[in-house]
Amino acid sequence: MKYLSKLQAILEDGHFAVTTEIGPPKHASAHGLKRNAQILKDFVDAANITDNQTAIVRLSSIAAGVHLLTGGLEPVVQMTCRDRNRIAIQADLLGAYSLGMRNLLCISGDHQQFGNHPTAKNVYDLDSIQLVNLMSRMRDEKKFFCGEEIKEYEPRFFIGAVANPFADPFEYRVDRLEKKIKAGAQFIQTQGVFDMERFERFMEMVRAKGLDQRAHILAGVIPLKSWRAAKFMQTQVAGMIVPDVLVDRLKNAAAPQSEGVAVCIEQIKYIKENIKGVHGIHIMAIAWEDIIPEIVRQAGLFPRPEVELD
Amino acid sequence: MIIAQQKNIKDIAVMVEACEKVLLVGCAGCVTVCLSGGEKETEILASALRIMRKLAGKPLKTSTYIATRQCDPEFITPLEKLVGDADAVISLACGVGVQYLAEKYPDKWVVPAQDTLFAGGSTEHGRWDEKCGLCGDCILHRTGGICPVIRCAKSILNGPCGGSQNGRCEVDQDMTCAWQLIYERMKALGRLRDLTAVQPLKDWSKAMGGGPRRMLREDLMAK
Amino acid sequence: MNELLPPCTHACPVKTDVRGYLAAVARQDYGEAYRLIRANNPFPSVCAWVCPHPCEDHCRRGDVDASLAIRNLKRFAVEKAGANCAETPRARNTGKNIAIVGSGPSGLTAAYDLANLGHTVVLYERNQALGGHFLTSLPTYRLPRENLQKDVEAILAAGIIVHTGVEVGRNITVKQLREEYDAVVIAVGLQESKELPLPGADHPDVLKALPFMRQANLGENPATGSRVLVIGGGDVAMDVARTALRLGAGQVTVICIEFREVMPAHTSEVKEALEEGVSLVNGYGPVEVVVDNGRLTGLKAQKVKSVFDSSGRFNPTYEPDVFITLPCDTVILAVGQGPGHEFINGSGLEVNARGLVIVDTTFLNTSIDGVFTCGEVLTGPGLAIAAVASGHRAAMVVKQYLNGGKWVTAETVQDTIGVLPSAVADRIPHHNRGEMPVLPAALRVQNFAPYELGFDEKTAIFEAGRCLSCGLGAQVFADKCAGCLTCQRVCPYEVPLVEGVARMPVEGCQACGICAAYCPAYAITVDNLNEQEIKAALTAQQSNTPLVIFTGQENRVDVLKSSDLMTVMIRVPTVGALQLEWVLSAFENGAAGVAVLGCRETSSRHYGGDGALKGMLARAKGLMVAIGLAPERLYYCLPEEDENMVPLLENFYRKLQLSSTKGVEQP
Repeated sequence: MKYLSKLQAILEDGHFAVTTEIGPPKHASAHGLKRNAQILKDFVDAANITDNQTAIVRLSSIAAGVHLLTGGLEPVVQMTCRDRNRIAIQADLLGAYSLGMRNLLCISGDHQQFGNHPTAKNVYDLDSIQLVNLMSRMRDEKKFFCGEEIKEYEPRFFIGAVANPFADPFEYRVDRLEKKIKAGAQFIQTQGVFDMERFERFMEMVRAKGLDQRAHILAGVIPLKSWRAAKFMQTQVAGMIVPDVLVDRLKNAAAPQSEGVAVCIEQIKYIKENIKGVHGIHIMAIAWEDIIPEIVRQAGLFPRPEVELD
Repeated sequence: MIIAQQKNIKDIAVMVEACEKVLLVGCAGCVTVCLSGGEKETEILASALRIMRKLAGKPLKTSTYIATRQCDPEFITPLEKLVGDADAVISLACGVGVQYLAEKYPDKWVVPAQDTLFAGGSTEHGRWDEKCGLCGDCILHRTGGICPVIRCAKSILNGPCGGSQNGRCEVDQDMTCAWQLIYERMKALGRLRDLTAVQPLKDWSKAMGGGPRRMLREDLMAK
Repeated sequence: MNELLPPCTHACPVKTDVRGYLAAVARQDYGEAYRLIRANNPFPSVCAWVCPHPCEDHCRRGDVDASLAIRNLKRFAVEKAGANCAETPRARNTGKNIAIVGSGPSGLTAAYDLANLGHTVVLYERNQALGGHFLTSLPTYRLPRENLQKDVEAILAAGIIVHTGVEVGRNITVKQLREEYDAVVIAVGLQESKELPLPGADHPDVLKALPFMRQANLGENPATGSRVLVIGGGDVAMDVARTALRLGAGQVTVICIEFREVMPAHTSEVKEALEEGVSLVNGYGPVEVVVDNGRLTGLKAQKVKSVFDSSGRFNPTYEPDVFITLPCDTVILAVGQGPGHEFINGSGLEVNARGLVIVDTTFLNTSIDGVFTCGEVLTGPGLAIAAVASGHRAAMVVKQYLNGGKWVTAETVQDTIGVLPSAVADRIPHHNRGEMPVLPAALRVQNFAPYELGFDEKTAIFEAGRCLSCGLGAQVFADKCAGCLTCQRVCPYEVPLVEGVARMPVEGCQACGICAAYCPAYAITVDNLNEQEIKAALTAQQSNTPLVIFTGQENRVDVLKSSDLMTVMIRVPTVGALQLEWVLSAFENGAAGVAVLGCRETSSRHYGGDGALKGMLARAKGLMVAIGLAPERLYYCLPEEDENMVPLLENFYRKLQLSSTKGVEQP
């Protein structure tokens, strides 16, 4: 097999990739996931499934991945370092691969303080960069984290990580991205971009180091339903920068929802056309997955290319 | 030093509800310095418990003793008689002291007056910060003398995570991002290159999780 | 190391416990204040009026705003205390007889001490009344004589036999006295005014200060012309000038060699003389008394170039050819005193080339065994209080002599507390020095009535409260100290040093007590704050449900005298020194309520006490809630300046009674 996953194939073939994000439900039914797969499968190349995002208990990322896969949508399994030690992480990822998952996104995870179990004990046995590094090694050198050899059937994930150009210290963000790529990250999804100017500066530094040649960078975008949502992002979510003009624009709009969609489309088009080194877009429509087809369509990214994995 | 904080007096009172006479043992070590369990606090607690029980119609007798340290058996031997006269012993030391007392006096009901919080120090009068996670495998030489193991909310060894903004941790706006500090210090020291190496997995077996740790100096133990 | 004395006490020749009596005044315990004042000084009333107060010159409060008005407070305390002072118990009669020659401050002091030791003391005085210079030399507007009378009577009450009108050397000799008595103490003082060898100085209108003052004080109204010129720059010159004014001289001028800044007279004396209309000519030395046709017409003086030589000795040099002539009718010389020689007649005492009796200045003995001297005849001119000190020493020496013991050792030199660090001085709230109300100068010069009117009680208490309580600060028990830095962090003056263990430099410590209140190890005590007394007061509450009041020292403690409230009043240097344990102890021992009267920034001796208190009160209230005590039982109020606190406290007490009958106490 030439490619580990469809997402890798799209990116390596030079297409502008489209991924999205699906938050599993806070219950034990798959019907919503199946519905989402149905709606989204023709509009995105793969969908991330969050792993107890914001530390709120949800249906597991791997189990949700199985439902999407059944529904015809390629999942990107997310794995945080918050809830599992190195033993559980490896076990779950072996299981995930056996269930057909091929994309893996390694993240540290939101601190449990923000979730619905703030008194829980966190794990953080390893961090996201170590996870990327050891999963790459597991694939390429057939070794467990401890160094013991995997005799056969090692999991072979297309491994990604995240980058946040809007966190501090800004000048260190690109160094850290490089560290992730050095550790083995093949694709990078960024935090939602609102501050385009800062993102462009970030990408300039990325290109200067040639990092865009060593990994595929997908810019995150977040369609906003209202100015309140924008304000919330601006003030309450750590690691986000939302310019005031954007908040005002939504505030003054007659139809805020369509304005939000319009903004998102403008952002995608701008990124695609003007910022070199970005290989795709990662649309995070939080609890608003239905809007994604429209965004993809109007951004001129539909239909999605067909690729061969071999 | 060990930083400890006194429990709510109501919770302490419940622990000795059935007793008529208690011995309160303060400690002249760390808890004196962090102002929670020295002679002054011991007397305050004793007085407050007596008032509380008097108001409840069940007067309590108290005696007090301040050990030089409760974490050495020799220092808690002299209070044998006081312990014998009491129905229970309230220790104002850290969790170490409580256990030494309990071990030393197996027939006695020994209860903690404190919640033992962390290893740290003071930054100003009335404020103490955690500085060391007692992980048993110090990496401060790699992180500019700032410990990410305990000062980063996620113990990230290759930080900072995406929640670091304006030098603050995403968990608490009052908390400085340890990795921001590490970055600034390494930058000032001209050692940013040291941060580009991917830090290996940490050997947590030297930290808690492997049962109680023990340090042996066989040279000192040789007879 | 010797105990360090506070600078006031150190500067005082008799080592009066100044801070002790000031503290007693501040808490309105005037009997105790008087006891402390009189402890080392049998002239409390005299000194309250005329002591040149070296204590004030050394007061460290001077480095903050202005030194304490110590003498004025002494006068206030002495007048308030009246005669309410227990007499010193006298020892059993020893059968030894001692003669004292002279009844000035040193003679009377020696007589008093020796009488109290059980000896029979006989005093010889050439005047008809006792007191020496106090009687004959000091103007009555500065020392109303009833004050001298009061002190002398108290001294004589020790059982001293007095022979007045007997002049030793004329009516009886020292030699005879020595034969009759077991010991003789010569305390004749300096009776002679010095003369100046000037042309014309033998003119009858050239007077001498001491005879002039003596005549004035004995009501003999010495005659002067209308223009009086006084030569001299000391306190005596000022006394003479002001006395001459009061006797009716139209124009009084003082001429002295010294420039104004270095005049030996006390600044305030000069200032008051000028206020009263005395003219001052500084920097001229007298050359000639100008006599024209037998009539004194003026004084010729030469301009001074410098007064002291390079080694600081008095050695004036003059500008050649710069002279002035001051017209006058009378010249009075006030250029110093010397000893008379009368008493030496027939004594057999060895004298030196200048005719002065040879005395060992340490052991006070003369060439004749059993004959001692003290006071100015021994020490030369000095402060009256120094003469008192000399009298004490003479009594000690004589006591040892009569016991057949060895000579007493030389006086040990005691050290004083160092300079107040400026960093500390900057942190002390400034308060004006209490001002002594005085009569206007125009009224003063009309008669010899005293013109300083005395402090009122409010001024006195506030003034006494300005005392820095030097040396009564924090002490550390090194073996208890955990080196936790709390003292260093809470001290409003940043005084404590923690080097291993805490150390409280005595120069800086302001004795506020805040460090002790926060020390987690009980390793600090403050000499100015008696914890044992506080604890005893709390555990011995008299009534069943009193009100316990903690108050900063600047609040008046007598406010509750007008109330029926059952109270236990505890004064602290600042409420910041209040300890949570004391509040709990008050309740545990049955207090109905605890009231804390805070410290106003405007009158507090310390900054920041109220701030420190707030944290403690908040914790106390939280703890009270937790243990089932109604937090309303702890009451804090910050009284306004001069506010009557009685209604506030009564109101609080009434509320407590109401709530306790309602049973809100039950948790």
